[in-house]
Amino acid sequence: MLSSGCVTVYQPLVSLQRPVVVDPRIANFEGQRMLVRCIPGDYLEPGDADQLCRNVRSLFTKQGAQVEVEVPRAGMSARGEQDGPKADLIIDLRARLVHEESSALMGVVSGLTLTLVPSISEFTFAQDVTIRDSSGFQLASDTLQGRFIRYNGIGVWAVNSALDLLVRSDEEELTGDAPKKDFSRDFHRQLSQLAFNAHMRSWVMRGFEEPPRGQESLPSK
Amino acid sequence: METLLILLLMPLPAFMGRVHDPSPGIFQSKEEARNLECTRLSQAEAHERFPGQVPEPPARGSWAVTDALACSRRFLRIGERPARDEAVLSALRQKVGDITQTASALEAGELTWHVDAFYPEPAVAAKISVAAKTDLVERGRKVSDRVPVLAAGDIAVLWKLPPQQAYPLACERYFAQGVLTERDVFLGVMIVDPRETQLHAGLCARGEWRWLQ
Repeated sequence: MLSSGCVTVYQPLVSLQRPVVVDPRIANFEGQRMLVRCIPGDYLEPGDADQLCRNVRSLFTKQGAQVEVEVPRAGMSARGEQDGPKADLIIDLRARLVHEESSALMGVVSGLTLTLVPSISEFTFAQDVTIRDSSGFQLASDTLQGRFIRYNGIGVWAVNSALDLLVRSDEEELTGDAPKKDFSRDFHRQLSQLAFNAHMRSWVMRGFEEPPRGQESLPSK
Repeated sequence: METLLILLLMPLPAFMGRVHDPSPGIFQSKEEARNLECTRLSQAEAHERFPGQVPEPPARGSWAVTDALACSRRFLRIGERPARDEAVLSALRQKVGDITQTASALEAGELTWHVDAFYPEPAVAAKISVAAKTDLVERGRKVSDRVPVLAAGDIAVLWKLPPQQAYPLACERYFAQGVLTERDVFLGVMIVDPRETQLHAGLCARGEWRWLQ
């Protein structure tokens, strides 16, 4: 019950709510080789970077790509020059914290009122995406920003749960795993569109020729 | 009863302080929130853009919050026009600017520029074309209002070809038929795949087609 006393609201900011045409459920990258690098930093722990990379690999594998993932440790790439064939698209993902806000005073008041007065904290993060071809030419880049607001209070949770149950449609629900689902959907769609645009740009710049293919396939990690 | 009322009213001050918050919640639906375009700005930048609403940052810095969330309502609500049109048109100036910058750098002489856009929706194609022409004029180029047109037989053949063959062949035909001379250059702006939201471009000069992006 206490853990349910939280409502986290997700708000897409820059780029995360841009219109998308590509459908991530179909094979948009059939036969494409991708290398996804999730680069740890101050805001992205190596464990989280691993999870992000697995998530993105699943996204592009479902769309027909052969995906290899890499989490460089201490700025060093784990993938040597001889490790498998060159990828058609190299996707670099970096995350950073843009803004964080919480009030200690509100936290105290919330505690004294047994969370009837909610404590509110929020953070805004940015996901920097850069896509290059095998020669290092930058095909696309973008920054996706999202904002999460966390209301910790039994009253907030009760009111929103009641509204979700009685008034709001499924798409409008705020409680439960709605923020996670909404963010994943936005992130997957934007990343797919960005990668598809990069793939098309690469194809046009190569004079509409497919990249040379070896017999070997990308090793799966 | 009074106790219940007090309990229900206790969270109210916390919510009233967030009436203007653009995030979804009790006062605003997710759909309404998605029709806002919000971005985080530093306090200095926010003060420059909204001087009446955001105070100047203190000269000696501050431990308090030093940034702002700036939101503006979309010109058209999400879903009012097709997603691809919206994606292309909402960043048209920047997309077209990149193309004309590259094109201008490649053909620097005293030439007459012709521009056409190849996009499934004619109204959007017209907007792309006008934007590219305007940008070229701003860069000091001489731009023609005339769109080079090929003979019906040529168009019938080109229509059936994939883009990698159609555009270079059209360029050759423009030159061979005298529609374009050595003093002319043609900039074509197009999409190649219906699933993309970016624009490609190619340049036709002296009968030779070059893809720019």
